[in-house]
Amino acid sequence: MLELRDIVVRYGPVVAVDRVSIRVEEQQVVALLGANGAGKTTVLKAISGLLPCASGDIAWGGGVISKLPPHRIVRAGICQVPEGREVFAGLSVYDNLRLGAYLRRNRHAVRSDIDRMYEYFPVLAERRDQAAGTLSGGEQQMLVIARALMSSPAMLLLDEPSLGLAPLVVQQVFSILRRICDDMRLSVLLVEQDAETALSIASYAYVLEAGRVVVEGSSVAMQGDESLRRSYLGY
Amino acid sequence: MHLDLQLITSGLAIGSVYGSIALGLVLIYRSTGILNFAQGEMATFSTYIGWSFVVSVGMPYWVGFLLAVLAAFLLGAVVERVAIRPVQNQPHLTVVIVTLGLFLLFNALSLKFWHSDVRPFRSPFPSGSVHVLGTYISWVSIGIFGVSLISMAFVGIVFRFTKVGLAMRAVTSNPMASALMGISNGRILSLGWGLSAAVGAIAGMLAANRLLLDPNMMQGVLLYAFAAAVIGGMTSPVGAVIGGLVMGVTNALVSSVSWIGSDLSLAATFIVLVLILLVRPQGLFGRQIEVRV
Repeated sequence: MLELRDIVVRYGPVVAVDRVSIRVEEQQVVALLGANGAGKTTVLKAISGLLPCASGDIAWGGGVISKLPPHRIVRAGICQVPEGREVFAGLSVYDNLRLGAYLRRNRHAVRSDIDRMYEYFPVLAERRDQAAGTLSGGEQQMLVIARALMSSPAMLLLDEPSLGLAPLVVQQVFSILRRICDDMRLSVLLVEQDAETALSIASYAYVLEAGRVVVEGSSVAMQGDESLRRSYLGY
Repeated sequence: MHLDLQLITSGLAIGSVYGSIALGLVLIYRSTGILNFAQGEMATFSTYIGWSFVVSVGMPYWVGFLLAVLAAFLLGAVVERVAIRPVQNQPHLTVVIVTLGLFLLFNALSLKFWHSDVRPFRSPFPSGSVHVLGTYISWVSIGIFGVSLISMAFVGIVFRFTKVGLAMRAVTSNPMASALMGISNGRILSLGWGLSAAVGAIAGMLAANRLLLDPNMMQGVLLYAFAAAVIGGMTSPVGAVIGGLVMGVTNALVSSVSWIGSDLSLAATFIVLVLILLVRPQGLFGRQIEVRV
């Protein structure tokens, strides 16, 4: 279980995340919603250790991880899919996937996991020797998801997987994602602006506004509450 | 100008030394955007360490050679950790000043421990020459060229075929994403500095016989190496090596022209550099960077 307890994250004097508490149970998919600039990405960066918490702490699997450097957090089983499709542009699709498994020692298992990713995302198999930078936006998004899964994480942090993708591609990515979460028994914290799509896959959601959690509740309750949807989720 | 084989091989030999230093510069530049002005002085310092092992302690040449390369590797890694990492997020100029400081530091350390006397350092290669295609090519040239080529090929193999090399390319390509893959960027950058310093030490050891060992030995070489890196496109390791060879051969050829001679050869060589850059501003192996506004 991942638990954020009253975390505060600052950029200099600016408080970007203000006493945010979030829980993700094992094998649960939780959405973190909110408008642009609400602090969603900052929360994920704090979990991954890319930004320090000014106060509060982050607990994971019985320990506190909020002081660890990024590579130790990956080792602890939390892997982030960053926003904006941060592929290794000059490296091949295959090398990108290999890098996802950087911390794993068992070559045999890594090779069979690469084949498994090619099954989930057949287009990556077709492009395995191509430089990742030459892929289309949707393909790059699939690659960064597959790359993160190669670390065989217990928890996946997904940052705006729908950003800049055509609606049809978004549907495609999310339907594969749902399948993977079930297969791999993953816990997921999903950051999205597209609340409707996010709620279709998550069981619980938090809404962030100006760095604070303003609403939380089950997806079903949020989908059913029209006034909440209108005022906070924009659909 | 005599286009003879002897001149060309001698140019290739010293050019491979330029290429090795240029390779070190490029490895650091492409992963961190830092120009390491201390690259040559660190090589000189390591060469002195090798000299001490071989001449003062009396070890066999190649044992001293290996120890110097090992020492250089550690030195490079420590320099990254101690001097570079604390300033790597500072403005560019700050980092440049730090590497200039390292230049002065290693120059002063060489001077302090080994003094300014010019020290002969025997070559590990036989002194004769071999008869090829009607001319004589010295074993020393062949040796220098061969060993630097082997060391540079080793770097290439590490980069292309090992997991550490893959991690180095990943950190170069996208540091944020590589941290999210569980790669410790700091450790990888340290390794890169170590590797660069080790290649530099090999170049220094090889050049010491020809250039004579003194604390300023590598300063001229550094100038050529910068030019070589630029010819190669600044970010291409293969380009840096070829750039070094181009500089070496050009320099050997122009200094054989009687009215240029060795005094003007530096200027003439750099005119060739300017001509190359006029035709290919991005260098021989560089990619033209297009910025969309």
